[in-house]
Amino acid sequence: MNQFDARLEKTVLDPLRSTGSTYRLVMLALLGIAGWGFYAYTVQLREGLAVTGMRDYIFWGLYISNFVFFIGISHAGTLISAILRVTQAGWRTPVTRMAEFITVVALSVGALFPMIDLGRPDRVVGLVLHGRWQSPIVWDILAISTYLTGSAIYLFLPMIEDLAICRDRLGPTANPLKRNFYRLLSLGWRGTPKQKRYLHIAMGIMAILIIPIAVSVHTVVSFIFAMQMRAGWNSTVYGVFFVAGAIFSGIATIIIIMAVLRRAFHLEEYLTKKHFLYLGYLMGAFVLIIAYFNMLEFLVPGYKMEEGEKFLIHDLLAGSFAPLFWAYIVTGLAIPGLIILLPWTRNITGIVVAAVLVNISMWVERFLIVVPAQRVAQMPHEPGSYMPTWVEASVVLGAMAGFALIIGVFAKIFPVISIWEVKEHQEQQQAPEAPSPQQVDSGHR
Amino acid sequence: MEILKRSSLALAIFIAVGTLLGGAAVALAEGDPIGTQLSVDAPAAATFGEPARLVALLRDEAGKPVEKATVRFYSPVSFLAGAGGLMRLDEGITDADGVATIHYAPTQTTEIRIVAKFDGDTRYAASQADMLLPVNGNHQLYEAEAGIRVPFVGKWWLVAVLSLIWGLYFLVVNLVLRVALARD
Repeated sequence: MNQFDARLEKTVLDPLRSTGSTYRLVMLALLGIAGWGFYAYTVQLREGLAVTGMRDYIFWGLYISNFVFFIGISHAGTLISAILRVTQAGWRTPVTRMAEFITVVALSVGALFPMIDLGRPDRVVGLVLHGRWQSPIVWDILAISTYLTGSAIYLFLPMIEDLAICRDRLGPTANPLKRNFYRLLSLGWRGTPKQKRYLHIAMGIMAILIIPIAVSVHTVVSFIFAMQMRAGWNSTVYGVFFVAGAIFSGIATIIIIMAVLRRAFHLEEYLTKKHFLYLGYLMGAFVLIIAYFNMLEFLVPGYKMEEGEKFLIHDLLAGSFAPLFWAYIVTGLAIPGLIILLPWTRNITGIVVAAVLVNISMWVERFLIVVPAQRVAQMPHEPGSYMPTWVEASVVLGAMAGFALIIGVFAKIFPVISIWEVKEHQEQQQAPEAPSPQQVDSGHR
Repeated sequence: MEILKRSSLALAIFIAVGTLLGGAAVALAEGDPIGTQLSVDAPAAATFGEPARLVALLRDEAGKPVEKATVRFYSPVSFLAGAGGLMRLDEGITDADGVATIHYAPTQTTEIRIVAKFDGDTRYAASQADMLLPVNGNHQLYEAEAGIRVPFVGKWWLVAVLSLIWGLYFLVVNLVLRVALARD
């Protein structure tokens, strides 16, 4: 094993060997917030949805906004890992594992929110037993469960070889539970030609399959709005708009997680400025795409000014939601775009700041999609109003803390960088004349 | 003069007594409405979602049909614990034979109690009757119709796509198991 490989293994596996006090403190704090969120949910279970701010006019609020947000950031894994793997972009290798973590965890957390929003969780059984094929909510269930299964498989496949490394390097000194855990999950990986061939085929299938599934998932999520004849939601471009927004917030999430884990686990040698720059460029491209879709969403109905659309556009641009809307435009699009455009801000710190602003603003954007459209009166009555309660805010914060907590736990159990892929990419870079192996998914030699 | 005075007095007394007796007669007549008897009839069983013909027959105590009386039909329902009452189904006006008819399509698949009520009026006393109506069958009452029927386009495409995706998942899982088996 050469020095690079030895250093790589030591750096990536060290966090799995020991745990510092800072990590414990952070996890404890996250656990506390998640626990408080869980307590708030038990209050809702006990007292009913009356403890939330949702009523008959505004029936979707923070929970559905959060659902859309988390499903959105789950697109991180698919974009970075699958698309860049299929296109054989070598720079992605240190980033793919984190991206795949984010996908699985974000999907798992996000998928809880429709059930939380339902009030009575037992009613989910009714959806399964009596759901209708024509319902976008049934499509949602099918799409999200299919995507979650595919993402879990897609996370596991490239991890097999790294789990074998963990088994061989950590196993002898680890406790029996950990040793057996790695032994079991590594599936007896020895790197035989047959094993490599099977894994290569499996990863190839999943890399290609997961891309259209990911696109369909957020398109279907958009359909729960777009299939309703409600001003603001009744739009033909919602599918593309949501997918673009999902990729946008997904890239921002990867940048943030990358920055945190890079600092926490000393991964500076592997997560370099180049990775932040490339993801920053992608994020910058999506600033323009999202700005374009926002322009469409207001120009087209604004030109016609149907009654309901007129009320909504006024509410967003100059009414009760105007401060939030303009904050989203400025801090979510204009400022991140400028940060990425200007050379003196286009560095790791600047890109991370831009990513944080993007993520906060994209959450606000989801809220602005979900709530204001419900204020448009469907019958002759005053527009409804919505003020989230402490229960909703606590559940949402608890879920976010839960998301970070699970990522933190994953980072302590599984290597956060794909060791074998980075090694392979390094070998390719050092031997450019050598014939490169077939790698739809960076298969082995 | 004296005779005239006595005659006027007698006349006044006669009118007063007559008024009193007449009023008493009217009062007596109003205080005793005629009793009625209501019966309700329906088919032996109704079909879920299909209209059933409910017939009420209103007769007085002498057996004569009561015409132009409003008969209301109800069914007892209950919702959450403690909340319930008579749900009004419809109402009919009795014809010359004392028959009031409504059509009611049950949307429950259990035995339904039908209560018919005549609330009475100035002439007739109130009465009510009830019966049990068994309901057969169970099917989806509302079926959405496709706005446009496109040949070969339907829910089976969704089933086919999902089957393909999950089939590929199982293929991948099979490959993963082969990785485990190919360790030597």
